[in-house]
Amino acid sequence: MYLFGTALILAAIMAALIAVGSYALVPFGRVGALRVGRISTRMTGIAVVAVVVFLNYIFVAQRYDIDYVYNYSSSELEPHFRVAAVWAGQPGSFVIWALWGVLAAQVLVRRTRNNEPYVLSIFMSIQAALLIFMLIRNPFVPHLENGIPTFPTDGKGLNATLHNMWMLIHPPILFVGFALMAVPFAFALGGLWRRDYDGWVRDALPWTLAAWAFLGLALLLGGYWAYETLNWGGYWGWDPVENSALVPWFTALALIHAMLVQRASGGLRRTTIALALMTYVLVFYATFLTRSGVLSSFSVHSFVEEGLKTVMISYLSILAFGSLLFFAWRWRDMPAKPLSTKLLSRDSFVVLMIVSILVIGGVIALGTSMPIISAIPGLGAWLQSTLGGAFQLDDGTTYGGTGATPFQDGRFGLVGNFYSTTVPPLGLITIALMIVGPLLGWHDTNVRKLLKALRWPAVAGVLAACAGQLLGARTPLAVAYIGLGVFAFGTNLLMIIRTLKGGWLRIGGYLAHLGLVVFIIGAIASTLYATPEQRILVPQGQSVNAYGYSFTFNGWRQDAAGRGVLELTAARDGRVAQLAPQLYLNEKMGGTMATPAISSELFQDLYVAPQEYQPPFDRNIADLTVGQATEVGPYKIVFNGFDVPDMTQAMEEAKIGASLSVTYEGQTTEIKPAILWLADETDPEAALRDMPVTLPGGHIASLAGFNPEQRRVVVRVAGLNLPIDPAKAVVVVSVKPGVILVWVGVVVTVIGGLLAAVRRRVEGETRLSGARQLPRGLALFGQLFGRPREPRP
Amino acid sequence: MKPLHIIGAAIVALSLGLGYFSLTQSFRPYTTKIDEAMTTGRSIQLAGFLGSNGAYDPDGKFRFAMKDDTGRLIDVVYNKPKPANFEQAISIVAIGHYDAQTRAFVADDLLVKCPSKYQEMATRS
Repeated sequence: MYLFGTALILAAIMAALIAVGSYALVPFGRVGALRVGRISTRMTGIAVVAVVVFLNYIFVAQRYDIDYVYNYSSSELEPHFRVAAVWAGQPGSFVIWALWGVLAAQVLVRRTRNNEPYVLSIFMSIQAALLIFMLIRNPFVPHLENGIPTFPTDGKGLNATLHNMWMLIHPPILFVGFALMAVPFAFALGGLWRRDYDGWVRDALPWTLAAWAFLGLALLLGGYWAYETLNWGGYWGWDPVENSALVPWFTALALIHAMLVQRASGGLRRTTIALALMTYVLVFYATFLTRSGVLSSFSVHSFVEEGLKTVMISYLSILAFGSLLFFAWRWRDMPAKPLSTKLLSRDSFVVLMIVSILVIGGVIALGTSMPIISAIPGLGAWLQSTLGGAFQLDDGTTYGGTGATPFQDGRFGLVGNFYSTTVPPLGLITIALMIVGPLLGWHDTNVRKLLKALRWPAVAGVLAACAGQLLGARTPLAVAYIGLGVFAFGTNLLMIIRTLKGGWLRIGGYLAHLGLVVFIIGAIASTLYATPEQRILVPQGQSVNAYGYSFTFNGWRQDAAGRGVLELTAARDGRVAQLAPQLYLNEKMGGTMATPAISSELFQDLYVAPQEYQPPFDRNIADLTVGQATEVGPYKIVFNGFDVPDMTQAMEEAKIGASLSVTYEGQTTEIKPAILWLADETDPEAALRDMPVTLPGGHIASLAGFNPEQRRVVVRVAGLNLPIDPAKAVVVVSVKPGVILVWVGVVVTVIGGLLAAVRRRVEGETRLSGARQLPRGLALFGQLFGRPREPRP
Repeated sequence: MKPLHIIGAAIVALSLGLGYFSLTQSFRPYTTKIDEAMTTGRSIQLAGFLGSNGAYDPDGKFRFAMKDDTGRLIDVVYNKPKPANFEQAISIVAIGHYDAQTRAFVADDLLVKCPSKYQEMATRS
């Protein structure tokens, strides 16, 4: 198994490297090497598919003698999760990433025309690197126990947090986004190499749009996973893991806009190339941040270090400095073409849009990298004293107590607050640009027509802002977002209606704008208009009111998987929603897991996060560890220790007693209730004999149970007839309006992005064939999936 | 200066200003020294080792002792349930602040580092 699997990986790496080498020879006149490059690209594809199939096979066949399978799978795992367990660990996720890469390479071979040798030699080198990472963390290594290969009967199983349907779809889609983002990178480097600073954009644009859409979809799925199952309270926590994938999404968005300018007017050549290079470097930087363990002291869910740190730093440096060198080398050679000088033109607005997108990405990247930046010797301490001196603490004292003395370590992270104060104001600029930009012509605009077009959307925006204010806005920012958001929705809807005449293929970009606006309004509504989280305690069989809902706790049960479920109902206006948040011990992780329950209505989500289940509590019982005191009715009982008399003579009986101090009406007495075990008694009922003690108040105390290991006893006092408290559920509830807009918005954006990708692909083909009109109907699919046409001579 | 450049520069300036302001508000220093952690009341990250296995106190709060490399101990109070794999922790990062009145470190979050591979997706609870 080990040898075969490793051989497959090595074969894939060899084929990829041969493809890189032979493609790289083509520009130097070795035209024959092109065929070798194509064949070895095909071979890499076959080898990587074989690796994935084989890895899947050992999971499905339950080969627990392989360490990777042993660690991530078990016999109780459903078949489809055994497949998903393939990407639960590092080597598996690298191979899935490389799989999408090599599949894309097969398409690229046919679609890159004259760029083929340049693009593919770079693209295949990236796939080779991913495969090498996989080889270093070889998933086919046998399972060793004390250095001896063993075949355990069962594996350790998949972590419960990963054991849900999101695990099946989120990681693969994320890696589609990551893998496709390498295409514009390869095209841009190829463009620099060939000194073709314009032509690459036409072919790379649809790939970039697709990569951006898939990355966005993956971010959405990740957010939904966090919201629906992981009990993080929201869909975005500004954690490094989330942020690091968001940053390349922003730079890709800037790249798309720059590419559009370049396609339309030929400007922004250098910007486009720089952004394409930067985006892929950032994709790999994201992987580095989450996989190398550098943030393990700062992130709540970074991957731990698994021995790839040095390799990853080296590869990241090669990517970053290599791109930078290449870029600098051709800097003077790249001719700059002036943009429109008019402010009211698409040229200008897209440039501003790129700036505003990049500053948001920049702020997030800076915040996420702070633990690394501050680790630079000297810099962290300097930053701490500079920043720390500038403000006061909550309690009014200066940072550091007396004067500003930075901590020796120097490193620091940022709280989520950093992002929620910086990103929203900057996002407002983006929305403002999105209102006007789409209405403008590329070079110039008729101001009267523009104002006419803005009229009705502006009215809608003002009305929405008023409504937002009336609905109880907490900040002016929320009102501004609602108003400008609806305004932008209006103008982009107008553009969709206008462009629909030219064919539905053309609306992709505006549709993406529309979706983003819907998403932003949803995000504002669900955070700034959400009710605060309220902790409620519901006794079994009773009702508690919160936020207009009446919560009833019907009891606790265990589901088929052994997870504890709190059964609650929430009633409002005669409608009753069943809620079943889960609270259980995750044996694999040894901790308590909580899965929230969400009751979705059309415009708002009722979010119920379980916090605690308190079992029924009998007030007639004292459950005590040594030294502990409890009150039972009028008595205060202290457990002093076990009372086990010397049993050397009488072997026919054994007595276990508890030495208790009981305080009653100010008087303390010592009592020793016990349990007597009779060895000769055959009737099990009678073999254990209770030896109760009468308390000063006339009640009877008996030893109901004991646990010598935990040094714990249970004492029951009879005769008091105190009530038994019912079981209680402790849950945190909040009402989040507009969450549905978040999901709908992102889905519309993704559809818009994919539509734009299709359009740009078809358009590229159409231009080359000399046709002036975009094809419609069936001809469209011919253009999409058919063989590419050669450029007209 | 064209209007385009002025607006562009304004956006960049705004982001720099916001970034700086926000940075002063939300930076959270990291230390491995308990002595340092006790000098400030602001939110910090304290990295150390388990000094005791910990238990729930009568108020239902999880309490344990943390130790730094000099052997100094500090009481840590945690408001949430005991985190996953707590006993196997090879090191612990407590995020919170030192409360001079109760002479304890009040943790809002605990990052538990284990030798186990199951650390990969720790929970936030």
